[in-house]
Amino acid sequence: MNKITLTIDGKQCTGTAGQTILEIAHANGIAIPTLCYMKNLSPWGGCRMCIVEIGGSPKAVPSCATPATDGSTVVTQNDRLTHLRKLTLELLFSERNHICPICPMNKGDCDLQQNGYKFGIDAIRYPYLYPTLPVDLTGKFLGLDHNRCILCTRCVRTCDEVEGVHTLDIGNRGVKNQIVVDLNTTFGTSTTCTNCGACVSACPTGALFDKNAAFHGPLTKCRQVRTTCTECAVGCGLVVYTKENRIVDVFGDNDSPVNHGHLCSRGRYETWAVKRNRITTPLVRKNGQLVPVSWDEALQTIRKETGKMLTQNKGLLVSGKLTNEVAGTLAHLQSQVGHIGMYVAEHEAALCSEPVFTGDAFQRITDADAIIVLGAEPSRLQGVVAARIRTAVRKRGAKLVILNARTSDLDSYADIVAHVVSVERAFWKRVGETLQGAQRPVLLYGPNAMTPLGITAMEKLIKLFENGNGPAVVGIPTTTNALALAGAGIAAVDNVAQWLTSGPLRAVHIVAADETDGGAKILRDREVVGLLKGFNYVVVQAAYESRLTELAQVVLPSLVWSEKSGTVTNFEGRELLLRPVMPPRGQARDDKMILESVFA
Amino acid sequence: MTIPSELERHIDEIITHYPTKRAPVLWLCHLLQDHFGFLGQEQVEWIATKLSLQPINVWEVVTFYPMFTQKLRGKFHIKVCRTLSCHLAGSQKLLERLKDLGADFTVDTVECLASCGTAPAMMINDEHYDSMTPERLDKIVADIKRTGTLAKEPIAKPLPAHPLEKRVLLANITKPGYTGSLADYEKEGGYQALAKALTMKPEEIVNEVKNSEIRGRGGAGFPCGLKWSFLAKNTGKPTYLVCNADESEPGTFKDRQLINYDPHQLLEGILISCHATGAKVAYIYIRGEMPHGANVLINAIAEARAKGYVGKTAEIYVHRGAGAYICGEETGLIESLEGKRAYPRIKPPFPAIVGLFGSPTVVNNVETLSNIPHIVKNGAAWFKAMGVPGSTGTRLVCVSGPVKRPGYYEFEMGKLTMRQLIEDVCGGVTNGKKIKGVIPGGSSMPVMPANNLDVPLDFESLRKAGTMAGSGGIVVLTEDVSIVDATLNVSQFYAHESCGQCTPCREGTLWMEKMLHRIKDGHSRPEDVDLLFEVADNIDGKTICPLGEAAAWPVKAFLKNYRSEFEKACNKNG
Ligand SMILES: Cc1cc2nc3c(=O)[nH]c(=O)nc-3n(C[C@H](O)[C@H](O)[C@H](O)COP(=O)(O)O)c2cc1C
Ligand code: SF4
Ligand code: SF4
Ligand code: SF4
Ligand code: SF4
Ligand code: FES
Ligand code: FES
Repeated sequence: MNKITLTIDGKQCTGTAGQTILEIAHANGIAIPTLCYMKNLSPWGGCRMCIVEIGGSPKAVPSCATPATDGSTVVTQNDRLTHLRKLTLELLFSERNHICPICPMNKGDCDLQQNGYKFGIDAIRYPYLYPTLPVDLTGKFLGLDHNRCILCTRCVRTCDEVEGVHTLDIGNRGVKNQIVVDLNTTFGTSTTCTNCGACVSACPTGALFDKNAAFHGPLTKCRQVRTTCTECAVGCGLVVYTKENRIVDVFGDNDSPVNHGHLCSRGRYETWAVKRNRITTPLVRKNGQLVPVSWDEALQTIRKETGKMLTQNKGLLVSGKLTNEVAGTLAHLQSQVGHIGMYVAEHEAALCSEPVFTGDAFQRITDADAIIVLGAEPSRLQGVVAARIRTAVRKRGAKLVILNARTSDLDSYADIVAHVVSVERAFWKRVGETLQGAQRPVLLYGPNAMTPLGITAMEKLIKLFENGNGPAVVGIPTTTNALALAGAGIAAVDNVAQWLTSGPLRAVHIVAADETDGGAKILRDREVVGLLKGFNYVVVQAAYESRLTELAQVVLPSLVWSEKSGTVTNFEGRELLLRPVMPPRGQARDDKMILESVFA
Repeated sequence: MTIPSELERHIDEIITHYPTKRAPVLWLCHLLQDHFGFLGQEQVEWIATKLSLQPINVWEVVTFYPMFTQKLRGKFHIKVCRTLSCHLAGSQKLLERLKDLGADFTVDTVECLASCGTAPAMMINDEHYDSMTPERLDKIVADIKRTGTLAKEPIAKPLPAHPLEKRVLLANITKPGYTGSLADYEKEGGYQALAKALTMKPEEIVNEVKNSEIRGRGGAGFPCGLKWSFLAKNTGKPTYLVCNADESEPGTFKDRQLINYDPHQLLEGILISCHATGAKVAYIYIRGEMPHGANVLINAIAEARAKGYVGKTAEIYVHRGAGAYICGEETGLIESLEGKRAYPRIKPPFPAIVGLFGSPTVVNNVETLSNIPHIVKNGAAWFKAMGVPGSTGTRLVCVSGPVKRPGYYEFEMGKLTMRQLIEDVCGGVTNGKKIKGVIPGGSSMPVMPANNLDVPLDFESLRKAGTMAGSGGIVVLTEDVSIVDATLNVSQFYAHESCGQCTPCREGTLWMEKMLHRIKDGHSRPEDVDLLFEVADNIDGKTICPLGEAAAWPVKAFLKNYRSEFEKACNKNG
């Protein structure tokens, strides 16, 4: 890498050849105003806020899109540039409706507004245009008010380059330019939008906004806590904004080594922007009804009913979402509870039987030139991984082979898709040809690869690479912390009915923790409902009401992700920290503490 | 929705012209729109599937180019030129006749149709009409209504040479019986230069072109040989040659003649240039509003292929635009050729390094390339003997506005002044009116006031006079012309054509238009004149592509030279 030196505002700055003037200026502590620039996106160079002068030339060039040249002299601040930036801002303010007090995103972190303050724009000399453009409020979580859009295309580039679906684009031409969703439809009817919310995070104005966060005042006035998403095994870093102990918004943590700021709709919205009925006190069934009671009463009731039971009659069935700290407690309970199991997705028990973590798996996927997805469904289950796969294919031409029973949007980017793994020669020949010559292949497999056919396919795949670079083999569980829990000695159970009938169980304590469905997924197997009804005693420890809690004699309120502390281990083996964002709601308690008091 | 198999075969053939799956998008849009009348969701999705693209990639293209429509138009689509020369020649009167024609007709205004010398111009579907009058229009419309069909409109005859002209590129076109066919062209010595060139080393041709000192005729006047020598070498990628036939600069209508009357001259120039630059494939990007020109070229290429000229050393393909001036800017053109919205690229890198399909690319104007056979055949010294130092060779100029003999002429550069051109060649102004000013090189170039008309017509002299030779499109403005109105007309053009990437250009062009409207209507304050200048100044030199300057320069020059007219208009009501 070639080092270059240039003078910016009289300061000697160094950088590497190929870097833009803006990047070098930023790295050397020189601030240049920007609007359309966004780190990690291709430059657009359109807003013209970042203009600078080079070597005394009167041409004002965009520093965000101009490569720095060795030995040049750059001026980023002078009266003329300030004047030009002001004019540009004035034009932007007058183009559409930027009446800040009635903007849903009067968040004090609107870049346009900030720049407006900084440059002292108080009166606009151009007549306002006030076009009456549509506002799209049909989205599940996000809204788009075209009247506040400055056409910086950060959303378009993010959707294309980060989420990789290219839902957004610019339609029309010139001053009629407008952001469009698909073929000029709405978010509500979009067939491609994944609701990842990345476009909203990228938008520098109030044009794209999170509906749940609108009108909650400036985010800058909120408390900010960094924590980890526990919805899947990726473990994305989150920045959670709260006000008076309510979540105002959740963004990806740009500093997270895992997701670098990107999230999927589960981490971004589903955990907080979807209404769920929270359990806030312990409940005990009296005359057929669950009624609120104190913790003492609830614990006493449990002890009364189960205290005298033999160890082998007691079962503890836990969620794979629990933290490593809870796993430690569970290990200690083995002597008191006859059966401890962790319920997981279909075929996932096999995946957990020899937990393997692939360090740097995420980076490998990002850099891959060939990706094979076997029995995994990243689009549905690990959105951020799906985004990396899409961008690898679309931006860098990586080959993609998908062998999975279910269809997903990724199929449309794939070179080969097979929903039923074929054993035919011709098929494998085609796969071999597609993957031939790959330098950095990745084989991503999920629980559904753990069938006899899946394992045959995996062997065939690995064999294909015998004479070249072998693939990085990355297992990705469906259940957030299943690998770590299995590693701590908790048996994975993918057939709950069988588990419930395998021993002389009479009482079962189910820890659903903060699973967003309240643990109801174990009832998918119809048999389980009948079996649970047949037990003498069912305790459910969960954060949300569900069909499962309906079957319990005692319900104990757990914490949700935003109240928890502890660690989880992601599929790469990284230990990631959960920090409490707010105090527990009602009388909810930490899972570890509950288990300790129940089984003390 | 069904696509006739013949159409699909045509489409499959077109697809083979391009190395990427996206590039044929514009062609497919044209073909499907020709067949179905519009490009609705079904058509967009069909194209996307055909080319393995996302539908949004097609849709964004459809909405960028005004020739494409998402809704069915009337069976007869009348497009009246709105731009300056036609405006001065009364296009408004044509529009007034076109009210309430019924559902069979759709009427739109379009920007400069590159027929300014025969203003006002218009099109109905693919037919082109020159020198329109309200009466003629009434007759055409009545004929359509009576017959239910559109009669073919013959292409105008070539203009005879004026004694003061020196015709080199236009030498063939008025020869008796000359049709522009391959046989006719060969009879006049055509393709001999190619034969000679193929015996030369590429560097020798580049040197000959360099030594001829020919400068680009597209507008910027960049030395052609030098541009060729910038091409990145040994990149492992193919080199492309692109012929810029987007001719859309208001006031300019020369490339149209070179294409319509002598297409083989251009093809020969392209084939020689391909040999010189190492390009194996050349594309001619012709503006969408020249369907006849596109056919002339396609037929000429077929003739030349049959004779073994095309396809042996290089392939030539025709790519049709779809109504966007910004496609004339070379990187906008490249994006458009790649099947995208014509968003000009940020430079550097320049096309010579990273151009079409990421490969080294030369973009040259039709007239520039049409000169190449003559340079190769007669030598650089012969070429340099014409014109003046810094402006060698001949140049096609186009004159429009109220002069007696508007049209296209070919002169040795620097040998004639603006005044001689207007008075001696064009016969002076109609009705003995006085000249108020002259736009010397397409509407993007600063206007010259009437007291400055003795400048010789060459690159340097015009630059010294504070303006530029530009595209060679000269528009004469007489004393009866309202400068405020003319400025507004020009500003409307740029506001309509801005691609919208840069804030100053997107917003600024609109504001200039709005403010000029206010000034014209007498609703403005005197400060607005300064504000207008300031907005223009904020665009000038601060945008991704030179369209920003092209929009700013005329406004600044009109303001500078005729300020009192603006002030008077402001004060009308206030
Ligand atoms: C807004 C804009 C429009 C242009 N339109 C044309 C055009 O219609 N035809 C053309 O040859 N050049 C046009 N140009 C100039 C081209 O960018 C380019 O300089 C030219 O095609 C190079 O060819 P030449 O060197 O042979 O002149 C335009 C430039 C700009 C900025
Ligand atoms: S939410 Fe995600 S997928 Fe949807 S438009 Fe925004 S960036 Fe694109
Ligand atoms: S919606 Fe926001 S991010 Fe997208 S172009 Fe408009 S202002 Fe920029
Ligand atoms: S990919 Fe997984 S960890 Fe990341 S936001 Fe989505 S659900 Fe949460
Ligand atoms: S100057 Fe105008 S036309 Fe050129 S890139 Fe910018 S907005 Fe587009
Ligand atoms: S930040 Fe550089 S042009 Fe917008
Ligand atoms: S053809 Fe109408 S202005 Fe050029």
